[in-house]
Amino acid sequence: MRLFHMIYLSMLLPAGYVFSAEQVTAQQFVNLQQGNTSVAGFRRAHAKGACVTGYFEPNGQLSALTQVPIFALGTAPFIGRFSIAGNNPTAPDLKSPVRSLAVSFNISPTQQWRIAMNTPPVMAVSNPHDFYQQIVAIQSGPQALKAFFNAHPETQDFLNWKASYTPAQSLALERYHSINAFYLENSQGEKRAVRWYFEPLGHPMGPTSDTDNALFDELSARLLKGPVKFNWVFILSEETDDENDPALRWPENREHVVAGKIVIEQIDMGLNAQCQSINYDPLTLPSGVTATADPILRARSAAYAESYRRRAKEKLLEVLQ
Amino acid sequence: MMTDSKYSLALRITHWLMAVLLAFMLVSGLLMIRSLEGWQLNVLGLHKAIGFVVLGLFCLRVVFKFTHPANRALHNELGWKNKVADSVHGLMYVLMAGMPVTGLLSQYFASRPVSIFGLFSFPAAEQSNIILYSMARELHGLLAAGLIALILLHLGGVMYHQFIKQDNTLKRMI
Repeated sequence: MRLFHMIYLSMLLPAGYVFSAEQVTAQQFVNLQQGNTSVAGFRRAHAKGACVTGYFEPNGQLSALTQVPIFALGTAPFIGRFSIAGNNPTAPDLKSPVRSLAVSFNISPTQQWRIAMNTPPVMAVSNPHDFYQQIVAIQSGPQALKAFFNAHPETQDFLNWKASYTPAQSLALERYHSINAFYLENSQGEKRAVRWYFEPLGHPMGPTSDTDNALFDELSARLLKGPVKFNWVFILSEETDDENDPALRWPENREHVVAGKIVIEQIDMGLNAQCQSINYDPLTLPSGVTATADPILRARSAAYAESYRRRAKEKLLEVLQ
Repeated sequence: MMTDSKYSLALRITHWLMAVLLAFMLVSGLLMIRSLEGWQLNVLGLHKAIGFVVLGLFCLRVVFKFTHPANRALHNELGWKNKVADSVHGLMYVLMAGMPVTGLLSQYFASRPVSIFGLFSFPAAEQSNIILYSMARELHGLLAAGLIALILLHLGGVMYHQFIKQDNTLKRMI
């Protein structure tokens, strides 16, 4: 009987722990993000977005650091998605404080790489529980947010960036950051912690409209004239840098390596375009890239999966009806 | 009497190995879909890899079950009770196969290759299909709930044989 008791206990105790612990769960997190006004079938965060397709053209500079084949010569197609923060799929573009670009490389049937980037180079906080409280503060208004920042000195790098940031006139002219650090690993097994960003290579095209779709309309118009390009730049950490704290910026003088060019050719605003089916969980990694212990990075898989599961179920029910 | 003898060693080993692994699978599954902690990613990887091991053991188990005549329930009960026991066992087999298959399919349709301890990976669909993902994912959850219920019934059956009926059902499996 002892064995049965052990099996029983091993099944029930941890589950009980999860339900009683005071830690924020993926479900609570997604509940907070979607609020009371989520729209069926849409992402709970970054609900408004458009699909783009293009390719990455490497220059070979990064191939000594990682075995991911897309950094060797040749081109690698991707399916991307530009989006703005928030749970509203029809939100006015210019009101959103954060803009995002996600890309998905289908390297081979057994190698996928999903990347989700935002305009800020760092998180305001270092762990998912503080991040939860930050969103609560944002939803409670400017005073609560100010109090939150005062109580969290680790937000300093984020606040410095925020003070210096001016939103670009175009989604094509923003710099998009990985925020979290990852390890690159080469075929000799050498690991190096890196962050990366997409550096825009385009130019302003005159004043933007102030309609709700100002940014996506501008991007569509821009793509009619030619591709939108970014340099993919990697920041290499040194021994003294903390790769596990997403709120901490690394010193400016760290080595930057341009790995090649991201070329975006087409946009599809359709609600059933291919990228809308993709879960851009940044922990979907190919051999040669691994996750750091960064607690916010580590929290993303479960939260993205919960959001994906909810909207997928809504789409399934829509089809079944 | 043939049916009173112990289950074959092969079946006993696969039974207990699977008991432990299924407990791990259900616990890790329930934990990893909720947790935002740093270990979530590791448990997610283990859940997928061990799920594959369970599928392999399940196949072995089916072979042992049907190739060895001693691997039969006692059937020393009234007709309806035997039928309940057979149904619970039959359903458990269906769910033990259904869990890993729906798990793998959900990842396939979400275009996420499943790595088995870094040794090899199951390929994923070239393009994600959110509807088929949802079907597989929701089934995976429903089957898990069903399997938990069946395991509780199975344990109830063991208690019944051990303490009320006081026969050697449990001994045959040890």
